[in-house]
Amino acid sequence: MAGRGTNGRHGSRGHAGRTAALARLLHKECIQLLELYRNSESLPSSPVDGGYLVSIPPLVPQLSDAEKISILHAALKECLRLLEDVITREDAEFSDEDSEYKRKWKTVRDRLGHLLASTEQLLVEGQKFEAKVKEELDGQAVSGSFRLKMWIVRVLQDLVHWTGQTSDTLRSLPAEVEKAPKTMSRRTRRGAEKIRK
Amino acid sequence: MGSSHHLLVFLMFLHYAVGFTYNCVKILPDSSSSIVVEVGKNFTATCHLLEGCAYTSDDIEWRLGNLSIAKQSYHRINETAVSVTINISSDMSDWLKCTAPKESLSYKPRSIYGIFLRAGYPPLKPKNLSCIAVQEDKDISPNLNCSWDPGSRNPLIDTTYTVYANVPGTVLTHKADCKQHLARFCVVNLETFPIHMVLKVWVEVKNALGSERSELQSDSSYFAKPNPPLNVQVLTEDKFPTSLVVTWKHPIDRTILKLSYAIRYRKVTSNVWIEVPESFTRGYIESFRLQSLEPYTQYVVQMRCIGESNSSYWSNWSPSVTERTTEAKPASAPDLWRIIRPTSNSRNVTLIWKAPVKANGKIRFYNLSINQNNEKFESHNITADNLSQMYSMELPAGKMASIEITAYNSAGESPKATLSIPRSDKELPGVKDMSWSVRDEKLQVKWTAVLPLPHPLKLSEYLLEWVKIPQSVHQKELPAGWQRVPKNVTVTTLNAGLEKFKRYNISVYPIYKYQPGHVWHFQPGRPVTRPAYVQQGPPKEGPTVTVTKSKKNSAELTWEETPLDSHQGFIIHYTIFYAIGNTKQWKSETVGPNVHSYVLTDLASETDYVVYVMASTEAGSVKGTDCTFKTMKYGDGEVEVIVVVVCLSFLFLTVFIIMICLRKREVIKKLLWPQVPDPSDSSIAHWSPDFPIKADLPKEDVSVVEVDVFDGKSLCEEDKGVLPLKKDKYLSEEHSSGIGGSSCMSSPRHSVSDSDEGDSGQTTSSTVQYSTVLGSGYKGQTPSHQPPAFARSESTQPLLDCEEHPDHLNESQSRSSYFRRGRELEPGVLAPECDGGSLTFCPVQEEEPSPVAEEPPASALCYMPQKSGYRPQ
Repeated sequence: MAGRGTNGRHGSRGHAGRTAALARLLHKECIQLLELYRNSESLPSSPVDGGYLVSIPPLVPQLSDAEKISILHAALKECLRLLEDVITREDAEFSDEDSEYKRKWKTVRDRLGHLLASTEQLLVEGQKFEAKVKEELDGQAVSGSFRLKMWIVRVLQDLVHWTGQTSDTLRSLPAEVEKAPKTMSRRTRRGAEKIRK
Repeated sequence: MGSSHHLLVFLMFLHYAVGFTYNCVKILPDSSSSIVVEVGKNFTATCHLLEGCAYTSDDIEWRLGNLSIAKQSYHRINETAVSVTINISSDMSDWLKCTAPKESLSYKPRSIYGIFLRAGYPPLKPKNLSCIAVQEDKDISPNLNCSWDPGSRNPLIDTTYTVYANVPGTVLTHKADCKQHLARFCVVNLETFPIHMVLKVWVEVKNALGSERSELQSDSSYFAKPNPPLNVQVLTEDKFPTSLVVTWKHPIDRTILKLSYAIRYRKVTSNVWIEVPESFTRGYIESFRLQSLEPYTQYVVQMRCIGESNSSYWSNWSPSVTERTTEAKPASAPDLWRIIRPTSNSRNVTLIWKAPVKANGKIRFYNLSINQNNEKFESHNITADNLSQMYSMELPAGKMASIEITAYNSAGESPKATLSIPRSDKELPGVKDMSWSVRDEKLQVKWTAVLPLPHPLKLSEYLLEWVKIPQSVHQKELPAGWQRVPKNVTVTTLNAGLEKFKRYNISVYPIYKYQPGHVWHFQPGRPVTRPAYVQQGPPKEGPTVTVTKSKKNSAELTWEETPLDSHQGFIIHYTIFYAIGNTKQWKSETVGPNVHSYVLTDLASETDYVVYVMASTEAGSVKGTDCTFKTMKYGDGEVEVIVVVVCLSFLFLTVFIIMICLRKREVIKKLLWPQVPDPSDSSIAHWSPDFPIKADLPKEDVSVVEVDVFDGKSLCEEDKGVLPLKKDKYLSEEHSSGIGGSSCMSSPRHSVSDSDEGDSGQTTSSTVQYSTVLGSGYKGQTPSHQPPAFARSESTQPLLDCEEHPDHLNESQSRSSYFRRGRELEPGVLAPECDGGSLTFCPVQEEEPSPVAEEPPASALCYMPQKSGYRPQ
């Protein structure tokens, strides 16, 4: 095995670089998923009007990179919540189907979780931003209705947008931002309780 | 029945051993299941007597299985407790029992308690943990295959292996239980492979005696193994005969895994790969140009990839792609050689050549130019065809030739190859000596270097030539192979694919060079040639023997030499085997390889032999066909000697008989021809009544024999021919002579004597009468003057039969002639001389006998024919 590192080697890339690559990958996968969904549901390829579901404070240039990342992290977190809601509804509708389409949903979900975990390590301790969801899908929304589908499209559009924003922001980070965050060990210990077989 | 009985006993034992209510003993530690103890460690258990128990600690006894534990291991703690310490070994998985045995005649019940010990080892730490997730489709598979070395020690107890995987910073940890005993690998499903994340993987081994774990933590790409590059192609470029362009496609998107590539290549004819330095292929590229290759050469190219900065596993090598570089003009000259066969007044020169070693392409044709005596003789363009890379020409012995050849491919012309053929009497010297041997199934040839020649001739190199013999008539391949070696070499191995069991003539030529102008000329010297085999085998067939000469005690055998192609080696000797008939008692004679006939000696006469000849090489022998032959009964000259001896013996015998006949002729004559009285001298012829006149005549006895002259049966065969002629005569002459006619008559029919009847009837009678003349004057005997007395002979004796003396036949005939002629003869010439001692037929005169007959000479006895037959007295 030529070129192998030693045990525990993290590779030559820094954490921010890996996070940026992950954000880029996720952004691409979200685009693919949106395309896939539109095709499968025969929806128009034009963007759905109404703006993004997730709203954050504006990413003004005066904000530091860390603050931008924190804001984007909050937006991505809301995106994940919305995505899990969509998957739950999709699972309810196509419970027995194990298609490429469904796997793609779950891949995006997992990848988004990875990105959140990865960006969290870039957060500066003490800085907390919150994102808001402008339009929740209330319980009256009938599953399978056109409104639901439009809402899913909007969720996917948000995913594409915010992952793209994150990717761009991370790629523009200078090298000094890449530092070993303190939160990593704490998060690791905390999260080690959930084991999936 | 037996098994159910044992089960019942076992259940009863368990009932009493564990939780027996009447027990007043108890062991600590206690467990409802087995107690796992570590091999090699000490284990201590204590047996307690419960309250109210009538036993004391002295009554306690420890047993492991059915064996009592030595008292030395006991430790009395107090009146009610005794502990035991045992060192655990791997075979101690058994019941440890504490008993308080019932004493004899005691009413106390027997108490027993036991715990089950299970011996084992704590788990070993897994070594060399590695995990890999291969590429699936366009992504990395979520299935992480982990493997490790569990160690060789069997833990003896239940041990579990579990693989965990976790992305630090996430709450989710994936795990996989490995079901196998002493598991070495396991697959954990990560659901989604955590690209660009740190992944932590560990394997945990657990059993009752402890747990161990091995851990890996790294960028997840460390666990990824991409597929080989896709669609690898190798492209040629015109006008760039030394390069190939390799193109490929990325097997995985760079957002997942950014790859760098490795390229390796080799010649098709080689097994050695050449790897392009990684620094050349670094970067996310999709093509690369291989340079400094050889023109018109097939190359095999493979690729593989790895995560950028070696951040993943290497992929497998891609399937091989083969491509040939384009042609360049030949970089070396053709290898030109010649074979010279002298003819009656010229030389047949066959030019043969090989394509240039560095042909750099497919040779299309050759340009062959021949000069004789420095004048251009002929020039040919010869198509490059493996079957026709030769050219034959006649070269007079007194002429020299200079040959030039150039090869062409699609890219251009090769350097020129030259070769000089001198006049027959101008050959340059050859090597002194040459020998060969076989090493590693190849011919190694050794020779003595040639001495330096005067300027301007220089030794350029040596050339070794091999020619298979006998050469095939329909040979399509080159008639010879050759190999050049540097001039400082005197030992080399032939790199020819020489066939086993085939004879080759190996020749060593020194090649001289000189430079008359600006071009070097090359001229071979005189060769030294030896036959050789790279491997000898037993002959294919044995000689057919024939027997050319077979004698009484020897036989000459001849056999033809088998075809050279069937020798398969050097014949070292022939062995002649021969045996009598089917006795199989073979005798043998061994003769040299050049002998093809042999004389077997000491053979038995008139005996069937079987013979065959066996030909032998150093590798084996083979017998020829059997030949049978039979020795003669007689030896040379024996028959001739016998014939000569027999002939000589016969000759001697004949001579001897003749001698005897000559010496004893009188006796023989008497035996064969007894004396018969001569009728001519018979007194009957002169008989007359006046007896006194004849009184002085010797008296003769005359027998008259009657002969049947017409009895054909009594005539001799010789007379039969003349019979018709004689018949009349006989008839007309009235059987005048009983003597002459009776010589061919076998027997008289009658004998009459003193018969008067015949006097008148004699002429008609068929008998001839003989009369016995009784006288005393015959043969010089003095006759008495007694009156003659006639007595008729009764003899049946044949008279001088011609059968007994065939030679008298003619005489008889002539006698007849005499009779016939007798009429014409004068009386004066009648009397031939008759030998006094011999019987002689005298001619008879048929005239009327004179009354006074001439007296016959006293010394002669003649039979005179009786003219008028018997005349009565």
